[in-house]
Amino acid sequence: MAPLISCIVPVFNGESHLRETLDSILAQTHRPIEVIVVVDGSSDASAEIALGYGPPVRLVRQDERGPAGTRNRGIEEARGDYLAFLDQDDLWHPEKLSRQRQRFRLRPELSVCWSHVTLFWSGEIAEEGRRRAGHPRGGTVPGYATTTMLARREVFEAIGPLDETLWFSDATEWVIRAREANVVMEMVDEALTFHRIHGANLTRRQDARSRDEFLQIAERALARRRAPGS
Amino acid sequence: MKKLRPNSADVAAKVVDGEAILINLSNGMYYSMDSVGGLIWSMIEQGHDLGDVAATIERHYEVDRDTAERDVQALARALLDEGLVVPSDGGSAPDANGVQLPPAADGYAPPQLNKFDDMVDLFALDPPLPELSKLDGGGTEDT
Repeated sequence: MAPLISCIVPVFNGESHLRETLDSILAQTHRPIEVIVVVDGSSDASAEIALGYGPPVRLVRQDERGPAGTRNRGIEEARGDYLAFLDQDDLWHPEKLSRQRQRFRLRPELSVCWSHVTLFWSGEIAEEGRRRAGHPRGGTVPGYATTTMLARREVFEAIGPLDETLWFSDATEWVIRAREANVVMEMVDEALTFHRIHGANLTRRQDARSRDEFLQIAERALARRRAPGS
Repeated sequence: MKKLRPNSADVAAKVVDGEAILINLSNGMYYSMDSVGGLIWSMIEQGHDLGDVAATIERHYEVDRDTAERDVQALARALLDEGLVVPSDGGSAPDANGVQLPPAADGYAPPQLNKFDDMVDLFALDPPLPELSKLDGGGTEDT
């Protein structure tokens, strides 16, 4: 029997695109799945939208704990053998889970599978997307981000959860930890996740705090290089 | 080369205990420079021209002027080549007496730009996207 995959959707005020996102999970060719929508604080209709779906979509609500904390809550709630995450604005290719699951069948030693990501631009800033066409980071890129990840659940027990002090770079920091622990990971060449750029997340990416977090990650990497025995 | 300024559209930097740590968010490369390099970076950030920087190093470490100038220019070229700084067209120079200097007792060693590429693939998706002005070829549009 195919293994259960828990699909974790962290949400903060995500009503605009949440239906599309959940529909792209329910359109997966892989079964069985469970879908855990974790609504973090939020003042919009996100929870009502998730509640309206019924099984296999399950709603979990919590007081605001931040993006990494919301993903971690999903991990705590998950019952699957494998965990996947999809951000509230993003979409999956219908065969995303089955193609990644195939990699695990071919490579039993594999713990984490990532995919490439294609960016797409929401209507209100489509013009900006056109202007960025051709930029190396404007199209399809390797997606070391939770939104592309399919992981055996045990890997989170071995590596630990996401660092909840990081708001922008939690996945990057987790990948570095996993690499240092020699976790077997694979990046598939296909774009199996579609990442929506819209006004709010574009602003978020240009936030000064985001720059500071990535600088902090470089600082930690340099400190580890200097540590005795490294 | 007379004066440079940090390429702040792409680069985040800090100086910790005299060491400069830089990351180029447009490509995921990151860098370190130890005490002499950290001093040079701090002075570039503060708006000093490269002549000021070499004079400060000459005084502080008691190296000859030619050595100081040669080493500052070499590091400046490396910073430019990596896209960490851009040429600057002047502006007012701050007072070099206000510069915080590392202990001279540490001795003088030519500054090195240490370069690390082990996180490049991790940065393809997540860090801040490039500013529109850069894509427009240096235009002035705000994002």
